Amino acid sequence: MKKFYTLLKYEIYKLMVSPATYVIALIFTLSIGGIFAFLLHDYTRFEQDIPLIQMFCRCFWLPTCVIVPLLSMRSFSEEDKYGTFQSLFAVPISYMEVVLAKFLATYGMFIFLWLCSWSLFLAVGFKSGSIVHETAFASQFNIGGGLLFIAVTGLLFVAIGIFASSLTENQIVSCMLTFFILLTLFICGQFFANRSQISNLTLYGTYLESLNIFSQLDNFCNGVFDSRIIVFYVSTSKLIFCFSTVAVQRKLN
Amino acid sequence: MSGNDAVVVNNLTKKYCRQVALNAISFSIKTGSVVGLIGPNGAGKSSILKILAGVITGTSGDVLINGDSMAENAMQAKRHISFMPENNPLPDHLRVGEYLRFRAELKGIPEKRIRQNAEKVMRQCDLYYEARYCMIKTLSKGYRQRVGIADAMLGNNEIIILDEPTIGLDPHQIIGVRKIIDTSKGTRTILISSHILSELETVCDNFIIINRGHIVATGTLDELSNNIKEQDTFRAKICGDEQIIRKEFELAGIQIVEFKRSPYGDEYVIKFIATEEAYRILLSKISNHRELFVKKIGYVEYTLEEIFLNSTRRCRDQDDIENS
Repeated sequence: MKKFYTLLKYEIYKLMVSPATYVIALIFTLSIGGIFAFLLHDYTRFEQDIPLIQMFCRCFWLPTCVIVPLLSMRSFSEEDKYGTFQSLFAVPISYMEVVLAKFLATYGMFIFLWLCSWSLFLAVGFKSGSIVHETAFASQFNIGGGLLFIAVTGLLFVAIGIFASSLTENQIVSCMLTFFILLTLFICGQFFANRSQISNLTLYGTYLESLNIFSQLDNFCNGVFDSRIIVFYVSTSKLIFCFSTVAVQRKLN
Repeated sequence: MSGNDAVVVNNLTKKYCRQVALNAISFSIKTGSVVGLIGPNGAGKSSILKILAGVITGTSGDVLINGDSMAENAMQAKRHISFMPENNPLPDHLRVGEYLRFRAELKGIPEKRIRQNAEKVMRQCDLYYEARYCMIKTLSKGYRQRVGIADAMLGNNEIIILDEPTIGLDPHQIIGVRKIIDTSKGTRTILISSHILSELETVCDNFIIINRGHIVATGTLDELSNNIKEQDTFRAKICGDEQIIRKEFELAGIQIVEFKRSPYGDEYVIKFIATEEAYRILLSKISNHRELFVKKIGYVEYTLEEIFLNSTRRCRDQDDIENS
Protein backbone atom coordinates (compact mmCIF):
# COMPACT_ATOMS: atom_id res chain seq x y z
CA MET A 1 0.00 0.00 0.00
CA LYS A 2 2.92 2.32 0.78
CA LYS A 3 4.21 1.85 -2.73
CA PHE A 4 0.83 2.77 -4.12
CA TYR A 5 0.82 6.02 -2.12
CA THR A 6 4.33 6.75 -3.38
CA LEU A 7 3.13 6.23 -6.91
CA LEU A 8 0.01 8.34 -6.36
CA LYS A 9 2.09 11.12 -4.81
CA TYR A 10 4.43 10.96 -7.80
CA GLU A 11 1.55 11.16 -10.28
CA ILE A 12 0.03 14.15 -8.48
CA TYR A 13 3.44 15.83 -8.35
CA LYS A 14 3.90 15.17 -12.05
CA LEU A 15 0.60 16.90 -12.78
CA MET A 16 1.38 19.80 -10.46
CA VAL A 17 4.80 20.59 -11.91
CA SER A 18 3.66 20.34 -15.49
CA PRO A 19 2.94 23.69 -17.18
CA ALA A 20 0.36 21.87 -19.30
CA THR A 21 -1.80 21.37 -16.20
CA TYR A 22 -1.94 25.12 -15.62
CA VAL A 23 -2.83 25.74 -19.24
CA ILE A 24 -5.63 23.18 -18.90
CA ALA A 25 -6.79 24.89 -15.69
CA LEU A 26 -6.82 28.22 -17.51
CA ILE A 27 -8.84 26.80 -20.40
CA PHE A 28 -11.23 25.28 -17.92
CA THR A 29 -11.62 28.47 -15.92
CA LEU A 30 -12.21 30.51 -19.07
CA SER A 31 -14.82 28.11 -20.41
CA ILE A 32 -16.58 27.87 -17.04
CA GLY A 33 -16.44 31.64 -16.62
CA GLY A 34 -17.82 32.14 -20.12
CA ILE A 35 -20.70 29.75 -19.56
CA PHE A 36 -21.50 31.28 -16.19
CA ALA A 37 -21.43 34.85 -17.47
CA PHE A 38 -23.64 33.93 -20.40
CA LEU A 39 -26.20 32.18 -18.18
CA LEU A 40 -26.16 34.96 -15.57
CA HIS A 41 -26.78 37.50 -18.29
CA ASP A 42 -29.81 35.49 -19.46
CA TYR A 43 -31.14 35.08 -15.94
CA THR A 44 -31.03 38.81 -15.21
CA ARG A 45 -33.06 39.55 -18.34
CA PHE A 46 -35.67 36.77 -18.47
CA GLU A 47 -37.54 34.75 -15.92
CA GLN A 48 -36.40 31.09 -15.87
CA ASP A 49 -38.16 27.91 -14.73
CA ILE A 50 -35.13 26.09 -13.44
CA PRO A 51 -32.45 27.28 -11.02
CA LEU A 52 -29.29 28.79 -12.50
CA ILE A 53 -27.06 26.13 -11.05
CA GLN A 54 -29.06 23.37 -12.74
CA MET A 55 -28.80 25.16 -16.05
CA PHE A 56 -25.09 25.62 -15.39
CA CYS A 57 -24.73 21.89 -14.70
CA ARG A 58 -26.44 21.10 -17.97
CA CYS A 59 -23.48 22.71 -19.71
CA PHE A 60 -20.98 20.54 -17.83
CA TRP A 61 -20.38 18.41 -20.92
CA LEU A 62 -18.51 21.20 -22.69
CA PRO A 63 -15.68 21.76 -20.19
CA THR A 64 -15.63 18.01 -19.46
CA CYS A 65 -15.10 17.22 -23.14
CA VAL A 66 -12.13 19.59 -23.13
CA ILE A 67 -10.36 18.95 -19.84
CA VAL A 68 -10.69 15.18 -19.48
CA PRO A 69 -8.80 14.43 -22.75
CA LEU A 70 -6.18 17.06 -21.92
CA LEU A 71 -5.63 15.82 -18.36
CA SER A 72 -5.54 12.12 -19.17
CA MET A 73 -3.70 12.13 -22.48
CA ARG A 74 -0.25 12.13 -20.89
CA SER A 75 -0.78 9.48 -18.25
CA PHE A 76 0.33 6.43 -20.19
CA SER A 77 1.25 7.88 -23.56
CA GLU A 78 4.14 9.82 -22.03
CA GLU A 79 5.46 6.85 -20.05
CA ASP A 80 5.26 4.76 -23.18
CA LYS A 81 6.99 7.36 -25.31
CA TYR A 82 9.93 7.87 -22.94
CA GLY A 83 10.15 4.19 -21.99
CA THR A 84 9.87 4.85 -18.23
CA PHE A 85 7.38 1.98 -18.11
CA GLN A 86 10.25 -0.50 -18.01
CA SER A 87 11.89 0.82 -14.89
CA LEU A 88 8.47 1.33 -13.29
CA PHE A 89 7.41 -2.27 -13.74
CA ALA A 90 10.81 -3.65 -12.72
CA VAL A 91 9.90 -2.91 -9.10
CA PRO A 92 7.39 -5.09 -7.23
CA ILE A 93 4.29 -3.15 -8.15
CA SER A 94 1.22 -4.43 -9.98
CA TYR A 95 -0.25 -3.13 -13.21
CA MET A 96 -3.45 -2.34 -11.35
CA GLU A 97 -1.66 -0.16 -8.80
CA VAL A 98 0.00 1.84 -11.57
CA VAL A 99 -3.27 2.32 -13.46
CA LEU A 100 -5.13 3.18 -10.26
CA ALA A 101 -2.52 5.76 -9.25
CA LYS A 102 -2.74 7.46 -12.64
CA PHE A 103 -6.51 7.29 -12.60
CA LEU A 104 -6.85 8.76 -9.10
CA ALA A 105 -4.36 11.55 -9.81
CA THR A 106 -6.23 12.58 -12.97
CA TYR A 107 -9.61 12.19 -11.30
CA GLY A 108 -8.40 14.21 -8.30
CA MET A 109 -7.32 17.02 -10.60
CA PHE A 110 -10.65 16.85 -12.46
CA ILE A 111 -12.61 17.17 -9.19
CA PHE A 112 -10.26 19.85 -7.87
CA LEU A 113 -10.87 22.01 -10.96
CA TRP A 114 -14.64 21.59 -10.64
CA LEU A 115 -14.56 22.40 -6.93
CA CYS A 116 -12.57 25.55 -7.61
CA SER A 117 -15.06 26.64 -10.24
CA TRP A 118 -17.91 25.80 -7.86
CA SER A 119 -16.53 27.93 -5.07
CA LEU A 120 -16.15 30.89 -7.42
CA PHE A 121 -19.63 30.30 -8.71
CA LEU A 122 -21.14 30.16 -5.23
CA ALA A 123 -19.27 33.23 -4.06
CA VAL A 124 -20.51 35.29 -6.97
CA GLY A 125 -24.03 33.87 -6.65
CA PHE A 126 -24.59 34.50 -2.96
CA LYS A 127 -23.13 37.99 -3.12
CA SER A 128 -25.49 38.99 -5.91
CA GLY A 129 -28.77 38.26 -4.19
CA SER A 130 -30.19 41.51 -5.45
CA ILE A 131 -29.65 40.51 -9.06
CA VAL A 132 -30.90 36.94 -8.86
CA HIS A 133 -33.36 35.60 -6.34
CA GLU A 134 -31.71 32.98 -4.12
CA THR A 135 -34.18 30.18 -4.90
CA ALA A 136 -33.81 30.89 -8.59
CA PHE A 137 -30.09 30.67 -8.15
CA ALA A 138 -29.61 27.45 -6.21
CA SER A 139 -30.85 25.21 -3.45
CA GLN A 140 -28.79 22.85 -1.33
CA PHE A 141 -30.07 19.91 -3.43
CA ASN A 142 -29.02 21.63 -6.62
CA ILE A 143 -25.52 22.25 -5.32
CA GLY A 144 -24.96 18.83 -3.74
CA GLY A 145 -26.73 16.93 -6.50
CA GLY A 146 -24.92 18.72 -9.28
CA LEU A 147 -21.56 18.14 -7.64
CA LEU A 148 -22.33 14.50 -6.93
CA PHE A 149 -23.40 13.95 -10.51
CA ILE A 150 -20.23 15.49 -11.89
CA ALA A 151 -18.15 13.45 -9.44
CA VAL A 152 -19.90 10.19 -10.34
CA THR A 153 -19.89 10.69 -14.10
CA GLY A 154 -16.31 11.98 -13.84
CA LEU A 155 -15.27 8.48 -12.78
CA LEU A 156 -16.41 7.13 -16.14
CA PHE A 157 -15.04 10.02 -18.20
CA VAL A 158 -11.61 9.89 -16.59
CA ALA A 159 -11.56 6.08 -16.91
CA ILE A 160 -12.24 6.52 -20.63
CA GLY A 161 -9.40 9.06 -20.87
CA ILE A 162 -6.96 6.75 -19.08
CA PHE A 163 -8.02 3.85 -21.29
CA ALA A 164 -7.45 5.89 -24.47
CA SER A 165 -4.04 6.91 -23.15
CA SER A 166 -3.11 3.28 -22.48
CA LEU A 167 -3.87 2.40 -26.09
CA THR A 168 -1.42 4.71 -27.80
CA GLU A 169 1.93 6.39 -27.23
CA ASN A 170 0.82 9.45 -29.15
CA GLN A 171 -0.69 12.06 -26.86
CA ILE A 172 -2.61 13.79 -29.65
CA VAL A 173 -4.22 10.52 -30.71
CA SER A 174 -5.08 9.76 -27.10
CA CYS A 175 -6.61 13.22 -26.64
CA MET A 176 -8.66 13.03 -29.82
CA LEU A 177 -9.85 9.52 -29.03
CA THR A 178 -11.07 10.56 -25.58
CA PHE A 179 -12.71 13.68 -26.97
CA PHE A 180 -14.49 11.66 -29.65
CA ILE A 181 -15.73 9.02 -27.19
CA LEU A 182 -16.98 11.62 -24.70
CA LEU A 183 -18.66 13.66 -27.41
CA THR A 184 -20.36 10.51 -28.70
CA LEU A 185 -21.58 9.75 -25.19
CA PHE A 186 -23.09 13.22 -24.81
CA ILE A 187 -24.61 13.20 -28.30
CA CYS A 188 -26.11 9.76 -27.55
CA GLY A 189 -27.40 11.17 -24.27
CA GLN A 190 -29.18 13.96 -26.14
CA PHE A 191 -30.43 11.50 -28.75
CA PHE A 192 -31.88 9.25 -26.03
CA ALA A 193 -33.52 12.30 -24.48
CA ASN A 194 -35.28 13.10 -27.75
CA ARG A 195 -36.25 9.48 -28.43
CA SER A 196 -37.57 8.94 -24.91
CA GLN A 197 -39.86 11.96 -25.34
CA ILE A 198 -41.27 10.45 -28.55
CA SER A 199 -41.77 6.95 -27.18
CA ASN A 200 -42.83 8.04 -23.74
CA LEU A 201 -44.63 5.59 -21.42
CA THR A 202 -43.42 2.56 -23.38
CA LEU A 203 -40.79 0.16 -22.01
CA TYR A 204 -38.45 1.30 -24.76
CA GLY A 205 -38.97 4.90 -23.72
CA THR A 206 -38.25 4.11 -20.07
CA TYR A 207 -35.10 2.28 -21.07
CA LEU A 208 -33.90 5.19 -23.19
CA GLU A 209 -34.78 7.60 -20.42
CA SER A 210 -32.53 5.70 -18.03
CA LEU A 211 -29.61 6.16 -20.43
CA ASN A 212 -30.26 9.86 -20.88
CA ILE A 213 -27.37 11.58 -19.19
CA PHE A 214 -29.12 14.97 -19.05
CA SER A 215 -32.24 13.54 -17.46
CA GLN A 216 -30.02 11.86 -14.84
CA LEU A 217 -28.40 15.23 -14.21
CA ASP A 218 -31.79 16.90 -13.72
CA ASN A 219 -32.80 14.20 -11.25
CA PHE A 220 -29.63 14.68 -9.24
CA CYS A 221 -30.01 18.45 -9.25
CA ASN A 222 -33.58 18.06 -8.00
CA GLY A 223 -32.39 15.93 -5.10
CA VAL A 224 -33.37 12.54 -6.58
CA PHE A 225 -30.24 10.47 -5.98
CA ASP A 226 -30.85 7.27 -7.89
CA SER A 227 -28.43 4.67 -6.54
CA ARG A 228 -28.77 2.64 -9.75
CA ILE A 229 -27.18 5.49 -11.65
CA ILE A 230 -24.29 5.62 -9.19
CA VAL A 231 -23.83 1.84 -9.44
CA PHE A 232 -23.99 2.07 -13.24
CA TYR A 233 -21.24 4.71 -13.48
CA VAL A 234 -19.03 3.14 -10.81
CA SER A 235 -19.23 -0.34 -12.35
CA THR A 236 -18.74 0.92 -15.92
CA SER A 237 -15.69 2.89 -14.86
CA LYS A 238 -14.38 -0.19 -13.07
CA LEU A 239 -14.83 -2.20 -16.27
CA ILE A 240 -12.98 0.38 -18.35
CA PHE A 241 -10.34 0.59 -15.65
CA CYS A 242 -9.83 -3.18 -16.03
CA PHE A 243 -9.55 -2.74 -19.82
CA SER A 244 -6.84 -0.14 -19.22
CA THR A 245 -4.93 -2.55 -17.00
CA VAL A 246 -5.11 -5.24 -19.68
CA ALA A 247 -4.10 -2.73 -22.37
CA VAL A 248 -1.00 -1.71 -20.37
CA GLN A 249 -0.10 -5.34 -19.79
CA ARG A 250 -0.55 -6.17 -23.47
CA LYS A 251 1.45 -3.16 -24.54
CA LEU A 252 4.45 -4.16 -22.45
CA ASN A 253 4.40 -7.73 -23.68
CA MET B 1 19.37 -26.13 -10.56
CA SER B 2 21.90 -26.12 -7.76
CA GLY B 3 21.38 -24.48 -4.40
CA ASN B 4 23.66 -21.55 -5.12
CA ASP B 5 22.04 -20.45 -8.37
CA ALA B 6 20.66 -16.92 -8.22
CA VAL B 7 18.93 -17.14 -11.59
CA VAL B 8 17.61 -20.23 -13.31
CA VAL B 9 15.99 -20.02 -16.72
CA ASN B 10 14.08 -23.10 -17.89
CA ASN B 11 12.97 -23.52 -21.51
CA LEU B 12 12.12 -19.88 -21.83
CA THR B 13 10.38 -18.90 -25.05
CA LYS B 14 9.26 -15.45 -26.02
CA LYS B 15 7.23 -14.71 -29.11
CA TYR B 16 6.18 -11.30 -30.40
CA CYS B 17 3.22 -12.23 -32.61
CA ARG B 18 4.80 -14.83 -34.88
CA GLN B 19 8.36 -13.64 -34.36
CA VAL B 20 10.27 -15.93 -32.01
CA ALA B 21 12.62 -13.77 -29.96
CA LEU B 22 13.75 -16.51 -27.56
CA ASN B 23 13.54 -20.16 -28.44
CA ALA B 24 13.37 -22.47 -25.40
CA ILE B 25 16.55 -21.19 -23.79
CA SER B 26 17.89 -22.52 -20.50
CA PHE B 27 20.78 -21.34 -18.38
CA SER B 28 21.64 -20.58 -14.79
CA ILE B 29 23.71 -17.93 -13.04
CA LYS B 30 25.61 -18.61 -9.83
CA THR B 31 25.12 -16.36 -6.82
CA GLY B 32 27.71 -13.62 -6.59
CA SER B 33 29.00 -13.98 -10.13
CA VAL B 34 29.26 -11.25 -12.74
CA VAL B 35 27.87 -12.48 -16.03
CA GLY B 36 28.10 -10.84 -19.42
CA LEU B 37 25.26 -11.37 -21.86
CA ILE B 38 26.41 -10.80 -25.40
CA GLY B 39 24.90 -11.19 -28.81
CA PRO B 40 24.35 -9.31 -32.05
CA ASN B 41 21.52 -6.80 -32.41
CA GLY B 42 18.14 -8.51 -32.40
CA ALA B 43 19.55 -11.66 -30.78
CA GLY B 44 17.09 -11.46 -27.87
CA LYS B 45 19.33 -9.97 -25.16
CA SER B 46 16.95 -7.23 -24.09
CA SER B 47 14.03 -9.66 -24.11
CA ILE B 48 15.89 -11.96 -21.70
CA LEU B 49 16.78 -9.06 -19.42
CA LYS B 50 13.24 -7.69 -19.41
CA ILE B 51 11.82 -11.12 -18.59
CA LEU B 52 14.36 -11.61 -15.81
CA ALA B 53 13.42 -8.18 -14.42
CA GLY B 54 9.73 -9.01 -14.60
CA VAL B 55 8.94 -6.16 -16.98
CA ILE B 56 7.53 -8.54 -19.57
CA THR B 57 6.49 -12.16 -19.35
CA GLY B 58 7.71 -15.09 -21.37
CA THR B 59 5.38 -16.96 -23.70
CA SER B 60 6.36 -20.27 -22.09
CA GLY B 61 8.98 -21.60 -19.72
CA ASP B 62 9.92 -20.20 -16.35
CA VAL B 63 12.46 -18.03 -14.61
CA LEU B 64 13.45 -18.62 -11.00
CA ILE B 65 14.96 -15.69 -9.14
CA ASN B 66 16.54 -16.90 -5.92
CA GLY B 67 14.06 -19.76 -6.03
CA ASP B 68 11.00 -17.57 -6.63
CA SER B 69 9.17 -18.19 -9.87
CA MET B 70 8.64 -15.11 -12.00
CA ALA B 71 5.57 -16.73 -13.59
CA GLU B 72 3.89 -17.74 -10.34
CA ASN B 73 5.06 -15.14 -7.85
CA ALA B 74 6.34 -12.15 -9.79
CA MET B 75 6.04 -9.72 -6.86
CA GLN B 76 8.28 -11.82 -4.64
CA ALA B 77 10.74 -12.53 -7.46
CA LYS B 78 10.99 -8.83 -8.34
CA ARG B 79 12.08 -8.01 -4.79
CA HIS B 80 15.43 -9.66 -5.52
CA ILE B 81 16.06 -7.68 -8.70
CA SER B 82 17.24 -4.24 -9.63
CA PHE B 83 17.09 -3.37 -13.32
CA MET B 84 18.59 -0.64 -15.45
CA PRO B 85 16.86 -0.75 -18.86
CA GLU B 86 18.45 -0.05 -22.21
CA ASN B 87 18.69 3.69 -23.06
CA ASN B 88 18.04 4.35 -19.38
CA PRO B 89 14.69 6.17 -19.55
CA LEU B 90 14.29 8.73 -16.75
CA PRO B 91 11.52 11.18 -15.81
CA ASP B 92 12.72 14.64 -16.81
CA HIS B 93 10.70 16.61 -14.29
CA LEU B 94 12.50 15.35 -11.17
CA ARG B 95 15.81 16.22 -9.56
CA VAL B 96 18.39 13.46 -9.19
CA GLY B 97 17.92 13.25 -5.42
CA GLU B 98 14.13 13.24 -5.74
CA TYR B 99 14.23 10.53 -8.36
CA LEU B 100 16.43 8.26 -6.27
CA ARG B 101 14.18 8.83 -3.27
CA PHE B 102 11.13 7.95 -5.35
CA ARG B 103 12.81 4.78 -6.61
CA ALA B 104 13.92 3.86 -3.09
CA GLU B 105 10.33 4.17 -1.84
CA LEU B 106 9.08 2.02 -4.72
CA LYS B 107 11.72 -0.59 -3.99
CA GLY B 108 10.44 -0.76 -0.44
CA ILE B 109 13.55 0.54 1.32
CA PRO B 110 12.60 1.52 4.90
CA GLU B 111 12.03 5.26 5.36
CA LYS B 112 14.95 5.64 7.80
CA ARG B 113 17.45 4.17 5.35
CA ILE B 114 16.33 5.93 2.18
CA ARG B 115 18.46 9.02 2.67
CA GLN B 116 21.52 7.02 3.67
CA ASN B 117 21.10 4.65 0.73
CA ALA B 118 20.53 7.40 -1.80
CA GLU B 119 23.58 9.33 -0.59
CA LYS B 120 25.73 6.22 -0.74
CA VAL B 121 24.88 5.43 -4.36
CA MET B 122 25.18 9.09 -5.36
CA ARG B 123 28.71 9.15 -3.92
CA GLN B 124 29.55 5.86 -5.64
CA CYS B 125 28.39 7.21 -8.97
CA ASP B 126 29.93 10.69 -8.57
CA LEU B 127 26.58 12.39 -8.46
CA TYR B 128 26.52 13.65 -4.90
CA TYR B 129 28.38 16.92 -5.29
CA GLU B 130 27.78 17.69 -8.94
CA ALA B 131 24.29 16.58 -9.83
CA ARG B 132 22.35 15.93 -6.65
CA TYR B 133 20.05 18.93 -7.05
CA CYS B 134 20.06 19.03 -10.84
CA MET B 135 16.92 18.45 -12.85
CA ILE B 136 17.28 15.22 -14.80
CA LYS B 137 16.34 16.96 -18.04
CA THR B 138 19.43 19.18 -17.77
CA LEU B 139 21.88 16.28 -17.36
CA SER B 140 24.28 15.11 -20.04
CA LYS B 141 24.09 11.56 -21.34
CA GLY B 142 26.94 10.45 -19.11
CA TYR B 143 25.26 11.82 -16.00
CA ARG B 144 21.93 10.30 -16.97
CA GLN B 145 23.66 6.98 -17.37
CA ARG B 146 25.16 7.35 -13.91
CA VAL B 147 21.74 8.13 -12.45
CA GLY B 148 20.48 4.88 -14.00
CA ILE B 149 23.39 2.94 -12.48
CA ALA B 150 22.81 4.62 -9.11
CA ASP B 151 19.17 3.57 -9.31
CA ALA B 152 20.18 -0.02 -10.07
CA MET B 153 22.59 -0.05 -7.13
CA LEU B 154 20.01 1.42 -4.76
CA GLY B 155 18.78 -0.93 -2.05
CA ASN B 156 19.84 -4.41 -1.18
CA ASN B 157 18.63 -6.30 -4.23
CA GLU B 158 20.69 -9.44 -4.62
CA ILE B 159 20.59 -9.42 -8.41
CA ILE B 160 21.42 -6.43 -10.57
CA ILE B 161 20.63 -6.38 -14.26
CA LEU B 162 22.31 -3.72 -16.37
CA ASP B 163 21.43 -3.28 -20.02
CA GLU B 164 24.23 -1.39 -21.79
CA PRO B 165 25.41 0.46 -18.66
CA THR B 166 28.53 2.07 -20.07
CA ILE B 167 27.07 3.64 -23.20
CA GLY B 168 27.83 7.37 -23.24
CA LEU B 169 30.37 7.22 -20.43
CA ASP B 170 33.91 8.54 -20.78
CA PRO B 171 36.87 6.27 -19.87
CA HIS B 172 37.08 7.68 -16.32
CA GLN B 173 33.43 6.98 -15.73
CA ILE B 174 33.76 3.51 -17.23
CA ILE B 175 36.52 2.79 -14.72
CA GLY B 176 34.17 4.13 -12.03
CA VAL B 177 31.42 1.72 -13.11
CA ARG B 178 33.97 -1.09 -13.17
CA LYS B 179 34.93 -0.24 -9.57
CA ILE B 180 31.29 -0.28 -8.49
CA ILE B 181 30.82 -3.69 -10.08
CA ASP B 182 34.04 -4.94 -8.51
CA THR B 183 32.92 -3.89 -5.03
CA SER B 184 29.64 -5.77 -5.54
CA LYS B 185 31.40 -8.92 -6.73
CA GLY B 186 30.70 -11.90 -4.52
CA THR B 187 27.87 -10.22 -2.64
CA ARG B 188 25.56 -9.43 -5.52
CA THR B 189 24.88 -11.27 -8.74
CA ILE B 190 25.30 -8.97 -11.71
CA LEU B 191 24.12 -9.58 -15.24
CA ILE B 192 25.40 -7.11 -17.82
CA SER B 193 24.52 -6.81 -21.45
CA SER B 194 26.88 -4.76 -23.57
CA HIS B 195 28.39 -4.43 -27.01
CA ILE B 196 31.67 -3.20 -25.54
CA LEU B 197 33.25 -6.64 -25.35
CA SER B 198 36.62 -5.49 -24.01
CA GLU B 199 34.76 -3.95 -21.08
CA LEU B 200 32.85 -7.16 -20.37
CA GLU B 201 36.06 -9.15 -20.66
CA THR B 202 37.48 -7.07 -17.81
CA VAL B 203 34.57 -7.25 -15.38
CA CYS B 204 32.76 -10.53 -16.04
CA ASP B 205 33.53 -14.01 -14.71
CA ASN B 206 31.13 -15.80 -17.00
CA PHE B 207 29.56 -15.17 -20.35
CA ILE B 208 26.38 -16.11 -22.13
CA ILE B 209 26.44 -15.73 -25.90
CA ILE B 210 23.06 -15.53 -27.56
CA ASN B 211 22.18 -15.43 -31.22
CA ARG B 212 18.80 -15.52 -32.95
CA GLY B 213 17.02 -16.50 -29.76
CA HIS B 214 19.34 -19.41 -28.97
CA ILE B 215 22.08 -19.75 -26.40
CA VAL B 216 25.17 -20.30 -28.50
CA ALA B 217 27.73 -20.71 -25.72
CA THR B 218 28.12 -20.23 -21.98
CA GLY B 219 31.06 -20.38 -19.61
CA THR B 220 34.20 -18.59 -18.52
CA LEU B 221 36.51 -17.00 -21.07
CA ASP B 222 38.81 -20.03 -20.90
CA GLU B 223 35.95 -22.47 -21.35
CA LEU B 224 34.60 -20.54 -24.29
CA SER B 225 38.07 -20.29 -25.76
CA ASN B 226 38.56 -24.05 -25.41
CA ASN B 227 35.23 -24.68 -27.13
CA ILE B 228 36.23 -22.89 -30.27
CA LYS B 229 39.93 -23.74 -30.15
CA GLU B 230 40.98 -25.49 -33.32
CA GLN B 231 43.17 -28.44 -32.53
CA ASP B 232 46.88 -27.61 -32.34
CA THR B 233 46.58 -24.07 -33.56
CA PHE B 234 49.39 -21.80 -32.43
CA ARG B 235 50.27 -18.16 -32.78
CA ALA B 236 53.76 -16.70 -32.84
CA LYS B 237 55.16 -13.20 -32.89
CA ILE B 238 58.63 -13.30 -34.45
CA CYS B 239 61.08 -10.55 -35.43
CA GLY B 240 63.35 -11.18 -38.39
CA ASP B 241 63.46 -11.72 -42.10
CA GLU B 242 60.28 -13.04 -43.69
CA GLN B 243 62.07 -15.51 -45.95
CA ILE B 244 64.04 -17.02 -43.08
CA ILE B 245 60.91 -17.41 -40.95
CA ARG B 246 58.99 -19.10 -43.77
CA LYS B 247 61.94 -21.40 -44.44
CA GLU B 248 62.18 -22.49 -40.79
CA PHE B 249 58.47 -23.31 -40.72
CA GLU B 250 58.82 -25.27 -43.92
CA LEU B 251 61.76 -27.25 -42.56
CA ALA B 252 59.77 -28.15 -39.44
CA GLY B 253 56.92 -29.34 -41.69
CA ILE B 254 54.45 -26.81 -40.30
CA GLN B 255 51.54 -25.38 -42.22
CA ILE B 256 51.10 -21.63 -41.93
CA VAL B 257 47.49 -20.48 -41.74
CA GLU B 258 48.05 -16.78 -41.48
CA PHE B 259 51.14 -14.64 -41.96
CA LYS B 260 50.82 -10.97 -41.10
CA ARG B 261 53.41 -8.23 -40.98
CA SER B 262 53.13 -6.11 -37.89
CA PRO B 263 53.07 -2.31 -38.34
CA TYR B 264 56.06 -2.10 -35.96
CA GLY B 265 58.97 -3.01 -38.27
CA ASP B 266 60.17 -6.50 -39.11
CA GLU B 267 57.77 -8.25 -36.82
CA TYR B 268 55.43 -10.97 -38.03
CA VAL B 269 52.34 -12.51 -36.48
CA ILE B 270 51.99 -16.08 -37.65
CA LYS B 271 49.11 -18.43 -37.03
CA PHE B 272 49.98 -22.05 -37.75
CA ILE B 273 48.79 -25.61 -37.24
CA ALA B 274 51.32 -28.11 -35.92
CA THR B 275 51.62 -31.33 -34.01
CA GLU B 276 53.19 -31.22 -30.57
CA GLU B 277 56.46 -32.66 -31.92
CA ALA B 278 56.67 -30.33 -34.90
CA TYR B 279 56.00 -27.41 -32.60
CA ARG B 280 58.92 -28.44 -30.33
CA ILE B 281 61.28 -28.78 -33.29
CA LEU B 282 60.28 -25.38 -34.57
CA LEU B 283 60.67 -23.84 -31.16
CA SER B 284 64.20 -25.17 -30.68
CA LYS B 285 65.22 -24.07 -34.18
CA ILE B 286 63.90 -20.55 -34.13
CA SER B 287 64.86 -19.81 -30.56
CA ASN B 288 68.47 -20.70 -31.35
CA HIS B 289 68.48 -18.90 -34.67
CA ARG B 290 70.78 -15.90 -34.68
CA GLU B 291 68.71 -13.76 -37.03
CA LEU B 292 65.34 -14.44 -35.46
CA PHE B 293 63.89 -13.21 -32.22
CA VAL B 294 60.78 -14.91 -30.82
CA LYS B 295 58.70 -12.37 -28.95
CA LYS B 296 55.76 -14.63 -28.16
CA ILE B 297 54.71 -18.14 -29.10
CA GLY B 298 52.05 -20.53 -27.84
CA TYR B 299 48.53 -21.83 -28.25
CA VAL B 300 46.11 -19.34 -29.69
CA GLU B 301 44.36 -17.34 -26.95
CA TYR B 302 41.07 -15.98 -28.13
CA THR B 303 39.70 -12.64 -27.08
CA LEU B 304 36.03 -12.32 -26.21
CA GLU B 305 35.53 -10.55 -29.51
CA GLU B 306 36.98 -13.48 -31.45
CA ILE B 307 34.91 -15.94 -29.43
CA PHE B 308 31.79 -13.87 -30.02
CA LEU B 309 32.39 -13.56 -33.75
CA ASN B 310 33.20 -17.22 -34.06
CA SER B 311 30.19 -18.42 -32.05
CA THR B 312 27.67 -16.21 -33.77
CA ARG B 313 29.11 -16.97 -37.22
CA ARG B 314 28.97 -20.71 -36.53
CA CYS B 315 25.35 -20.42 -35.45
CA ARG B 316 24.51 -18.46 -38.59
CA ASP B 317 26.21 -21.05 -40.78
CA GLN B 318 24.25 -23.85 -39.12
CA ASP B 319 21.01 -21.95 -39.68
CA ASP B 320 21.88 -21.42 -43.34
CA ILE B 321 22.59 -25.13 -43.78
CA GLU B 322 19.29 -26.04 -42.10
CA ASN B 323 17.39 -23.55 -44.25
CA SER B 324 18.97 -24.77 -47.47
